[in-house]
Amino acid sequence: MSFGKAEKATLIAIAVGAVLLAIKCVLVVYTGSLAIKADAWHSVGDILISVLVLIGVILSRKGWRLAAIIENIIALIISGSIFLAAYFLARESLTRGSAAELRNIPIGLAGIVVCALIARALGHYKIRVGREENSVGVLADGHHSIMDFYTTIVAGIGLMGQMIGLKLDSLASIVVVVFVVQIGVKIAVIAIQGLLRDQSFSAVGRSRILVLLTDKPLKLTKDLIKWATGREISISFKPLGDWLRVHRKTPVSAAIILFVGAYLFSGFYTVEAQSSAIVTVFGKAKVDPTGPGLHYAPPYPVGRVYKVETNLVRRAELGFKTNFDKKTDWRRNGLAPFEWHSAHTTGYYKKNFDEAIMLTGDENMIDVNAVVHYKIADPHIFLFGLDNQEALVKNFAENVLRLSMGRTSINEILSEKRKVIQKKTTQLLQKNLDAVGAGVEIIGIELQDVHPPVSVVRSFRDVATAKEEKALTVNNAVAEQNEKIPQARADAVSTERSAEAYKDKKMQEALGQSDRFRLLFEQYRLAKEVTAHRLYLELIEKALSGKRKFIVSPGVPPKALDLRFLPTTGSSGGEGK
Amino acid sequence: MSRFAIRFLIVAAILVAVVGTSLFAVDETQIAVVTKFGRPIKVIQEPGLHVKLPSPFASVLRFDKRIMVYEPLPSEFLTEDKKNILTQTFACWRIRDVQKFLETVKTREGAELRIGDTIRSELGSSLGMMPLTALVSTNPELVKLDEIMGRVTANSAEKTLRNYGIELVSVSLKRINFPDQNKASVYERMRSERARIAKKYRAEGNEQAAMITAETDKEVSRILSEAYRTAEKVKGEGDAEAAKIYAEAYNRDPQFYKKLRTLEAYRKFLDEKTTVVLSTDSELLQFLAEGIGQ
Repeated sequence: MSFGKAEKATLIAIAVGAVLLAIKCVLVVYTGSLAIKADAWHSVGDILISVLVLIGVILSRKGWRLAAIIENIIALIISGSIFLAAYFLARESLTRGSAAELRNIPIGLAGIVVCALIARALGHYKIRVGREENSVGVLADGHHSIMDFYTTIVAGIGLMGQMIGLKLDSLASIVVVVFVVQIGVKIAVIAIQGLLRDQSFSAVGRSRILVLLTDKPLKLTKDLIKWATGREISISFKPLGDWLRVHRKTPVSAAIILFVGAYLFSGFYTVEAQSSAIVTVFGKAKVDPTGPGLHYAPPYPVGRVYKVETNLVRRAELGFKTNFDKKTDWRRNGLAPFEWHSAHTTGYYKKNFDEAIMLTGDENMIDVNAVVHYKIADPHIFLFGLDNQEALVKNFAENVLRLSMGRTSINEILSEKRKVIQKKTTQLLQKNLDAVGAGVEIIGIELQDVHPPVSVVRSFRDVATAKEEKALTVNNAVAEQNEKIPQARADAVSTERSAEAYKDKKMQEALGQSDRFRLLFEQYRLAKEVTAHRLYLELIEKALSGKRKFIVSPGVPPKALDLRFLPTTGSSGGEGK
Repeated sequence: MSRFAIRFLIVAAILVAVVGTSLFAVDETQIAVVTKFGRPIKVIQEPGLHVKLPSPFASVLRFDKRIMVYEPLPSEFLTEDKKNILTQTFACWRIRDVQKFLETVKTREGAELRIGDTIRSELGSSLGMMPLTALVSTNPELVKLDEIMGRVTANSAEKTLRNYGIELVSVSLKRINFPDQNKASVYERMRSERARIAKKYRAEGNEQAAMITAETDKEVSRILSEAYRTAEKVKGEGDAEAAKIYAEAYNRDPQFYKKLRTLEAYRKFLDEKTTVVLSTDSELLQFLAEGIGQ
């Protein structure tokens, strides 16, 4: 049992490991790389193993009986938490996909190089101390630190891939997670063995750590392949190792070669589906744009790659600006943006009145909102021919819209001419832009809200109301007509029928009376004298009965009579035959 | 050894400086002017790697040769028919004669100020001679805007190329409108126009309703009077028919009818209030006066 140098080396390892962990944590925050995060967890595992070894040594020195059990239980808990971390890391790298954006990649790469070098130096230091002190644990720990170097390199490869557009970060993080799991397994195995044999963690470690911790990543890979395919393969990095051994003494040339290699590597670039890229060499552009895929160009500053999203349909907004987020969602608050009377001063849909208010052909004003959809037809012109393509499209679009509005009356704009304007302005815009050589393909001008200015909207709506009122008044009149005329027809029929009834009555009366006369007359003809007299007397009876009568003898002087009873000539009584 | 190294380093540094400053790349977007002690000696239009005398003998000035969009400040004009019009133009321009550009304006800002001046003066003199209908009108024959802008562009382009080495690719109107102060009165007019139209609709409604009502009344009257006519005619027919029947019957013995009818009339018109004075001489009372014995 050697205390002193070995323990000191372990303490140094813990301190340096903590520094590495701190650097990696900072890198995770700066770059957002998952692979570095996994590597940081790997470092956590390393530090914990060193701490356990140290604690075991100190405790066993005190000869405390229960120490071995406590030590092993702590080791088990630690391995459990490492598994948990590995699980979360794996889940994150599998589900995050390509959505994640890495930032500050150059800083990340620099940090990784520093970490890798530190890990390598630490590993060599521990191996040396382990050999000198003949300490199995420290020697194993040293080999493990070399492995930390490899995992850090893997994280770096992930970052470099990301730099040229390959989404390698998730893949790299999964590789690192495998090693994290490996550490967890080792700690768990040793702790379980220690518990079974009632030995302290570090005591088992002495004999077992060497075997377990010196598993090189290469051996692990070989084992995995053998397990998966059933075939033994031989992977050898011997030439690389030889080369490194030869140049071990000349680190400057190795660094230069590394630097040049990295520089040439930075010439790789990928182009996404919606884009094409143009490469310039010393400022001069190549004629043919490159399509989607992985390409190579001379690295900066000789060559430069300009990527342009040529298939993307761009939009330029005229008269308004959309600004969509939860705060400005009109469904939650405020007036719907498509209402004519909404003033659009805030929120999702913000007006630019200078742009939107246009003069119409009949010298009225109208509020026009439009969107231009366009594509980049020529990436060369977009990149090298124009200062600001969007401003160009927008200005010309405003120009053609105003010209078109300036030749149309407000009523036509609001109703039947809308489609025509849309079509005509689209053609004119394409023509004007072609004349300037803008390299733009106009897909269309889409008129959005076109309405009278807000302050006259009420009057426009009143016209619509008046139209309705007109229809209402006319309808009422028609309704009255529909009522009165049938009534009149009914009255007419009734008048006609009553006239017919009258006619009928008259005729029947006449017929009746004439029949009566005829029948009487028959009898009269048979006995004229008697009948006449009888009729006369019957009638006179009826006529004079009940009346006031004065019977005067001709001898009575007229003076004796009251003037009131003076008979008028010819009216004094009936004159019988 | 170390002496040799120092010498080597000095020579290498000088070489790097000479080569580094005599090679220069011209970008796709640039025109370069090589100057010798400040005097322009060469214009390079072609992008790529070029060679010049090393510094400090020659230096490079770079200019952007892309098409730029410049929007001068809006300006207000009075048209021929004394209406205020606010216009805003935008110009697409690029450097054509870089040497002249370098001499006269030097920077983009300087160029744009001068372009703005030129356009404004051209536009003012062109628009001032035009009535408003030449700018906006529903009659396409009156609108001369394309012509005006064509002239403004041609004149301005000629001036800027001659004076500043600038090519004006296009000058277009981006905005043409009434100034804010006049807008209020235009809105007022639009409102009154709408009020007029609304009134017209309402009046038309009343008019049509009145017409329909009058038509209704006329129709009703026609139907009723026609019915009246028919009714009177039918009544007359009835009367006539009755008269005919009476006449036929009574004509058998007009004397008898006369007597009968007269007696009937007596009965009718001698009513309760009638006082009858009868002479004893009358046939009716003959027996009353003389007795029946004779």
